[in-house]
Amino acid sequence: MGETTADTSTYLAIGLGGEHLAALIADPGPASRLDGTGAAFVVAGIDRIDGSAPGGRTVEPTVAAAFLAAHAPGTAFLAAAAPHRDHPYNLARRVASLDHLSRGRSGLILGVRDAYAPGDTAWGGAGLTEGAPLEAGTTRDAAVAVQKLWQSWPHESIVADHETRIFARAEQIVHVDHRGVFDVAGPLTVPSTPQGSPVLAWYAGSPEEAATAGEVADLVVFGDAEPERIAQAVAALDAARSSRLAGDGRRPLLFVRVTVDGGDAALAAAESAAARAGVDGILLRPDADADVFDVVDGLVPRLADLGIVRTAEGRTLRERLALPEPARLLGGARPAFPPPQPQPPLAFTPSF
Amino acid sequence: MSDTRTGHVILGVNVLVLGYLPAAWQSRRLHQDSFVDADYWKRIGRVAERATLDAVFLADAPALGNPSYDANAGRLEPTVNWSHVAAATERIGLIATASTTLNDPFDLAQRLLSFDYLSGGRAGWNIVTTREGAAARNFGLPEVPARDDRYDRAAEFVDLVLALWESARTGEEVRHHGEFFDLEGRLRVPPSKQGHPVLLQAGGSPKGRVLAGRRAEGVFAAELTKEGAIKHYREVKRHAIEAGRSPDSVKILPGLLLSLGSTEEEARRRSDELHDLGPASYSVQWLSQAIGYDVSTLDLDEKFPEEVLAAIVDPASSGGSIGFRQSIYEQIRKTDPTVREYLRQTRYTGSGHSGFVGTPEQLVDHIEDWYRSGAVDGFNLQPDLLADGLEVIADEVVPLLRKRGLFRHEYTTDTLRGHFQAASA
Repeated sequence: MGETTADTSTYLAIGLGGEHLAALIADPGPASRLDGTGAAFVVAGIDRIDGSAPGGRTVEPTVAAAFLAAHAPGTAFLAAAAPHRDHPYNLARRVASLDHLSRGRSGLILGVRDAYAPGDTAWGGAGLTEGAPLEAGTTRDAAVAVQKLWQSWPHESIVADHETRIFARAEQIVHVDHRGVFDVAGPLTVPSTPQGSPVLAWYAGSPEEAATAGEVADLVVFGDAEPERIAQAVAALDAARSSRLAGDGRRPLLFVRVTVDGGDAALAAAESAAARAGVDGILLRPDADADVFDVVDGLVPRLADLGIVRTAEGRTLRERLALPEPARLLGGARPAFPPPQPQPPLAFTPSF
Repeated sequence: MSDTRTGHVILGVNVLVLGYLPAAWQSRRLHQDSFVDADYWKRIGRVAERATLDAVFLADAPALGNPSYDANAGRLEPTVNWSHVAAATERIGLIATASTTLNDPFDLAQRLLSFDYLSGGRAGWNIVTTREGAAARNFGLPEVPARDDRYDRAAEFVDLVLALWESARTGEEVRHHGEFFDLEGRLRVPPSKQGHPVLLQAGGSPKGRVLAGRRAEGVFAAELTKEGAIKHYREVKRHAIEAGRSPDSVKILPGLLLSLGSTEEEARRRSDELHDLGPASYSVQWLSQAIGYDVSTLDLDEKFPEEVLAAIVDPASSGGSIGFRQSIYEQIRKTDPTVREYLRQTRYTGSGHSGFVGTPEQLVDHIEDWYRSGAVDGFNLQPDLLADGLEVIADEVVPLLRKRGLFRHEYTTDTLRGHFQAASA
């Protein structure tokens, strides 16, 4: 974004609602223009979890992100979801699949409830269990289960040895045996991903929720740009005991949501939020009736030119955000399979 | 049904990740991460599209099998995987398997319609029930429900998904209060170019065939003999008529395990090599799982004991799908082999699904024979190894079928439902 990006360290992100996703998918050619924004990531379907009323149209975020990631190969996507009608095993699996297909440019952003989903329980709609309350504790438990699943099949276990004809050292794959709001045995059906694990983010509407998010997330998007509330969220994150970044001494990154409604107020709001102590990034959230590319072509270059945001660089999303590999969660876990034995030598040379 | 049959065959490819045999990862054309690699999957979509196939298909279960000797145990989630491939293709149908046993109907209805919308109306849903306890334990359940309950749940689940898809079109709320699900709400995903995904069904039990006749637009059957296939074909078409549908509205597409070579001998050698490269216990384990009986306890050089044969077709016993068990039972009864002979024979004839080992020309003879006999509307081909097997289908099998007037020369339709309907024109 030009040479005037100055020395700011504030990241930029963009949040797309359902209407934006539906329009981009109907005409995906311009999606590649997201690659030029310098944004660290784009959230697919943020209106599900940011307290908005459901819009007229939407597309499920994990499949939308999988489609758009192919059209915008330089853009990282976070799929928005809540453990509302979606189960942690399915969420972990879909986002890990997305992360493989996008070569480590993906993540999950969780909320407490999904505005598009009917019913007032977590996973009760599947008709298998009573379900759990839709509250921060449920999302927290889902986040932990998802993170464990992402580590359950270490990629290093894949040896693909043509001599012994062993594909994977399967004894390194473990059950997660997660017990909480959700009980999940594991392991996941996909190995750990090109960036280790997908990025796990949380959309928090209040400082209290940010405190819970701070214990488990890599990154928190805070839904209120009012300076005092930002300060409370920063304090909450500083005080949270982070399991995610354990041993690193850091706390999760904090992004502040800035609503973009077409007027000039957004520029001032973005500048103000970016200047607050403890804020690592701003997330531009265009209104449902705002054109995404008006923001991409208008506000984004102005923010960059003014040195309010920086360009995120790196192959994977973790590299772009300078996030460490997440702390290991599965020490001493139960192996899922016995160690494989080398296969007997062959009497022939394979012809294929 | 006779040789006056008009229209053409429907061809899908069941992408069992790298190919149906566990040793497929050892192909020199692949690298260790091919099974999760975006380029691998896009190439599958593009080659299938070059062959003007109707669809590519992904089986699925939400649990990890042992990948010690088998990369196919690793499975990307099908709706996400095909949505990525959708961006790299234009015409090929994309069919994803998803279970009614362990999913939430609202979540799945929303995701499948989203996948259908973004692919321009090329999505199919292969409806399965889940029987693996390992999958249940990923969702907080100690075991899966009994078979009859699973089918009752499946029927209500499918009706609710269809109602939700309808709500996306009309904007009217669904008010559903059933035995398994309570839901008041609607989908806000736009309807797709074909309205909603094509429904396919994979089970071969009597209840499964009733469900297929009532709702499915395609059936992935398991057929080992042409006689059995003709009987089941008529049964499903009859269920469709009884449900007030056209018999053409449900397409019967059995799986066909494939090893192809430029001569029959070469094809057999390829199949033998791929079997020998895999774990020695593969066939024994496969059969044990399929029939719910530990085959390693049997004397391999004796014939199957009567009580084992009886247990294979007992619906009350555990084990794999009834459709598979029935076809295995019929195959054993037909040739009365020893256990070892049966395991060897299944290399070339398939087990559960029918198998084919031979040349492209012989395969086309086989497809034509079953099609003209009224046993099938087409096949879901399952190559031993996709990396080269799919190209042989595109470059050799499909041109031969075209020459005989049995397959399209180019796409004339652009949705999956359109492809299926065009076949019976």
